[in-house]
Amino acid sequence: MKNIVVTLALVMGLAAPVVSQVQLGGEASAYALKTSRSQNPRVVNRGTATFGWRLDLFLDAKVTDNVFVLANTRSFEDDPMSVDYAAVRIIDLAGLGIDFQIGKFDMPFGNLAERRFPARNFLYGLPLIYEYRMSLTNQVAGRLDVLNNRGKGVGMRLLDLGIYDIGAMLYGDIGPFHYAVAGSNGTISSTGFRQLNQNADFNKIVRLAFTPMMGLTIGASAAMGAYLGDGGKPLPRAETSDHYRQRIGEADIEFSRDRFLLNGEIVYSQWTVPFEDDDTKLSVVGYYAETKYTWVPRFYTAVRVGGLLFSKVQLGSATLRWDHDVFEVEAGIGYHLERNTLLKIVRRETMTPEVTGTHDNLTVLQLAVSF
Amino acid sequence: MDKPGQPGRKILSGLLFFGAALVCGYHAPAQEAKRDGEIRGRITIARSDADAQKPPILDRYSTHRPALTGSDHAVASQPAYKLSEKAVIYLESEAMKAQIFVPPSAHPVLDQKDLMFHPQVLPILAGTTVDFPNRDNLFHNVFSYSQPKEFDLGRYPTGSQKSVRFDKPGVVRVYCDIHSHMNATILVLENPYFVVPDDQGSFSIENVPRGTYTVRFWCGRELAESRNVTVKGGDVVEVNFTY
Repeated sequence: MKNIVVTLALVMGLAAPVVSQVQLGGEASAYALKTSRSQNPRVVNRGTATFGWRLDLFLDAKVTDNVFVLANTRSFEDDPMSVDYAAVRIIDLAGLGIDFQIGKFDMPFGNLAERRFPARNFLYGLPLIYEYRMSLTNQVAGRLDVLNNRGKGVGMRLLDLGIYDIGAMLYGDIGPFHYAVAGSNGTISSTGFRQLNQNADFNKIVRLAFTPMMGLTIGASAAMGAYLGDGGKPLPRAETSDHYRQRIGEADIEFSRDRFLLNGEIVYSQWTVPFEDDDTKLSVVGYYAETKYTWVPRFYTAVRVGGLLFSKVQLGSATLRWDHDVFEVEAGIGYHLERNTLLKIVRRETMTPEVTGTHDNLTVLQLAVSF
Repeated sequence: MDKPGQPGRKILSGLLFFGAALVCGYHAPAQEAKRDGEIRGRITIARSDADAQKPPILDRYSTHRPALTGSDHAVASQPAYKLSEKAVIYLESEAMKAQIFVPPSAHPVLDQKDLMFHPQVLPILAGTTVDFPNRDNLFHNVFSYSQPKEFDLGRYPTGSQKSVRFDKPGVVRVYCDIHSHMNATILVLENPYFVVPDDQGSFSIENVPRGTYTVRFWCGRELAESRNVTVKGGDVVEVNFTY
């Protein structure tokens, strides 16, 4: 953390003479939460009530009329500070009406956008597809031992917590249409921003969005890239890690009118996995829909439903689901104490029907302040 | 012109009118001007525009969707407010607190245009209804959590408008829930003795009844200065402010 702070200070100090305008901002949030007790990965602090906090800091700097530098840092109570976003953005590249961004930033996949931050999140958690750590069941993992030395070992998110990664992108608008094309180090489910690229392939991302009427945006994104790291056990048939790819696509909607807001995404992902005689494929469908309605000034209610549905995989003579389906409902009320200060009370129920004793819940009181 | 044979009719009418005027307390316009005064002066802005809205340097999420702002450039290039859009001179007086003033039937307008509210400061008499038209090609969500009037108008498209009536005097801070830099202030005042200066800073409040007043100068987001003055019949009181 000290290194990050020193680096940011140096960058800001060196950049100061050439920067014409700088804006600093951020969000701070604190919470008290209690989950049920179980072995489910959604359980926090083994079910013992606990407090926590989070701090996000934003820096936007205008270098010239067309060149901008943007940065985010994120800190949790028990994690070191991470620099999620550190990128240079060039607007209207060479007068072509195309914008360009390079560095570490949120990849153009899905429509989470500013809802990732507590003061703009209607509820407490992110949708399952952004938070839930998928992992192979013991039976499947035992048969796919070639993967054992190639993962982080703590599960993998379908969309890696906002998909911050190192890469470059071109994007722009044509009337009501938006397009973005990007390349990044890691894949959508396993971003490469905490370490150097682990294979020779780049992840390729394309996104299209359309705003047919005010308040309605429909989007779709697709990405493909190699997800296995080099090293570990030799791969079957002497394949290289670049051969094993994640292919992922999604569609999303954002609708708002009067005091009603709706967001939704549906994602399909498929991984080609090395297996004895032939490759096999793991796939998953993830989805969520969330709504918010402001009843009177300051006060709103919100609800989100979501799930992850895992495919069955043929491993030799066995057909197994590679992870257990999971469903989640999160509902809460929010009250704006001040314009920039939001108090939320949220209840979350997480269900894994195939596994007994894994109906979990979370109750949280969160205070979020933006500045 | 009197008709021949009716020379006393004009005299009689005059006597009747004079008598009625004495009974009813009527004052002729010439006498009104003599009784009321005027407060006028000039505002000099000496400081940099500290109240300028600070829009985001750009829309961070224009990488994911059509830019909320129309374009990244639209945010960065907002002009500063003119003096006539951000300054108000108004009077306060203990004697006037008990009086009832009829609010105008016409609705003042707080525009949403070019990602800004226009004007930045809107003075109104208590009981007035304000219209909030959206003239941008994108959604706004006007709201206020101020004590005199809490409201949340939700999101509505270009060309439509919503209205709010403000009954309690006080300061109402107005924001947009989507564009956090947008802000305006509605001054809900107890009496109609207020005025917006011209862009050069000149102002004049006419027909001010005799009495002692506090002259308040509001600029941008804050009350800049107050002065006590006494208006005598027919006086012109000059009050200048430097901010």
